[in-house]
Amino acid sequence: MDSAPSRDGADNGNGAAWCVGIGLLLLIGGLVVGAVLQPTAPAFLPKTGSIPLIKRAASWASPAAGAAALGLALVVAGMLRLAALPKSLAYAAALPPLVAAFLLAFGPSVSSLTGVEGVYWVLGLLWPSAIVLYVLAWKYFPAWGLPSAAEAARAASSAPRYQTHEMRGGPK
Amino acid sequence: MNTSLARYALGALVVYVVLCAGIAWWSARRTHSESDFFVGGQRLGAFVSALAMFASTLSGFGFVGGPGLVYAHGVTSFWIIAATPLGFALGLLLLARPLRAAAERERVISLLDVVHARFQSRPLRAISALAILLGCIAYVGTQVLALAVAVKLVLATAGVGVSMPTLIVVTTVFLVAYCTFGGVLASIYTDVLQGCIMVVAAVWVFIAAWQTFDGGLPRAIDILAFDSEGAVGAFGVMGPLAALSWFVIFALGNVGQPQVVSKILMLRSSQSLKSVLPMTTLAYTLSALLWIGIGLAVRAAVLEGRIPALRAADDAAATFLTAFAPPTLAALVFVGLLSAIMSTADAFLNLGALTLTHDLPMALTPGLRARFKRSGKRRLWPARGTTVLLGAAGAYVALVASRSSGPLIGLLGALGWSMLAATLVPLLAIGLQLKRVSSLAAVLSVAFGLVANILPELLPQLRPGAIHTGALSITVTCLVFLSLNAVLATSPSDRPARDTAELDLP
Repeated sequence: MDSAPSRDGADNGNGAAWCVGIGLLLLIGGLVVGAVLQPTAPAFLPKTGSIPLIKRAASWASPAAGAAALGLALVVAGMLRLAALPKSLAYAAALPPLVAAFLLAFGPSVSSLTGVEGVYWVLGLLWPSAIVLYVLAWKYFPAWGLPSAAEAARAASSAPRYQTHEMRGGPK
Repeated sequence: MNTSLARYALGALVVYVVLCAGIAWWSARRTHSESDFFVGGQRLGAFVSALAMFASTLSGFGFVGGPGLVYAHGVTSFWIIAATPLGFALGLLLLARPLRAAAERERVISLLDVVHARFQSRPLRAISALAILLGCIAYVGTQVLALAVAVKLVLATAGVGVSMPTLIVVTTVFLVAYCTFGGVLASIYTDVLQGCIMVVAAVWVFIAAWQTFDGGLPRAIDILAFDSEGAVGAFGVMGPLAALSWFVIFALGNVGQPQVVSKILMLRSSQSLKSVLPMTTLAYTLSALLWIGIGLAVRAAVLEGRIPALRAADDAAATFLTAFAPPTLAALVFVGLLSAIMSTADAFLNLGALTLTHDLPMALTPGLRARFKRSGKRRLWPARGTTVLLGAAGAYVALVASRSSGPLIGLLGALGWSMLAATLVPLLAIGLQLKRVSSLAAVLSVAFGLVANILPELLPQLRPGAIHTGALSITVTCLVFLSLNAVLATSPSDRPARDTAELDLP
């Protein structure tokens, strides 16, 4: 059940800001640790014969990248909660980074186990993972506080400037 | 490119130019005020806005650079495609409310109007405007250069030799002409035309790429896997850090692209947002099929020995069209490429003119807007004049870049997507949502975002290795803003910023 989308974050402002902050720390930490572990990989053109080296290095960097993607999930969910959007939207927005974290950390192992190349996981799982978010966004747009044209016109004409609180708080 | 292909491409070019000119003429007749020029009178429908939003996101990079990346690095660049739907959603979800409230209550015309209403800081408006302006000049310059290169290629195959400086001037004049007379309406409606061309071309190319192999693209993937498992692995040859970097840049970065999110201000009604989000993403997703199809097909064809190895990865698209596509498709893709370049360039020309005539003057001269309102002046001709000025600056950058292979190209790249994202994401995605904000924290974070993007291009030893500079600069700038704001906005003397639904616009 979604909480009421209180616009000014009175209830969730601090928690959401902490969520964004911790997520950013995890994301930056994961990126930096991963960069230390993974040497810059060359393109495979022309053929260098260095693929095994890349795979070995990548296997060390993968957990760090996965952790960083978890941080990204926290960041996007925190940002949406900070904007006082419904919890279900925040969770749905975290889904693509969570899928990314899974693929980054375990992608090669999953491919080996299932025999399905990683490209199919990216195109079949990661690419469409935002669909849940789109379905929910369709449900909530513009119910969570966006003024309709009529409301906006009424507010602008009748209410004193800066006092139009009926636009705040979304559906009650 | 053979002669018949060149003939088709030239024919398509002529039709395209005539259509764009017609749209510009039609738009010019409907542009009477500053609001018409910059935000289309705030009367755009969902379909038009969605196509414009998508078209200004996908530049020539998607048509040329994207397939090249797949050819050279395998699956890594697919993470850009996977991140973009999330980016569109984040941009609209986070910014729709504050921007629509501003658009419908106060008829604001600029993204920085909304930022200013929140932070009440002219220094912040000035430094943000500077960042946007730098981004605009860099984008317009690179797009003009790309446009000139594309036209030169077609003219050369038709036996017509034209020098690069001439082509840069001619393409800039055409671009500036339709943006100057038609304002954002011309830009938006040509974007719709361009967006439709891109989608049709991309889907057709994907089908052609599929038909190139007996078993379709799965067969191409098998060929790639046989040669190098890493290339078709979960994160391609560049490794997990590069894949994640791109995911971060295009998911979070989309929120900070003024040419994209400012389209929210142009909508007729908030109700349209319901349809804008899925339509924008559907159009982008279909266009991305070109990126995937050409990249995989050309690499597999090279490995099979059907075509020789490419001299440069960016030749992938041209090679595919020459070797595997019928001339009509090649001509359509050529026009699609021009569309992708021009739709991005015109969005930035309009944005840059808005920054020069509206945001910078208001940041530097308090009360300017009130004076204009009192005098009832229409500020249409300054807007048109600055569009010309900005086009000239872009052409100059393109001319210099065409003669330089040094750090200028890299610098122009750094001043694009990542710099706009690093400077604006903290303000828009976090600042507009926080209960209490510090304008000093915001100014410092924008300055940090600028330095964090430009410095690594000037001092290569500062580049963070396997991570894309942009990913690090966006995330660190957000953290800098959040941390500084936590410290600076808690002072008892620092009044809470107004809700963006309670705008205090000049």
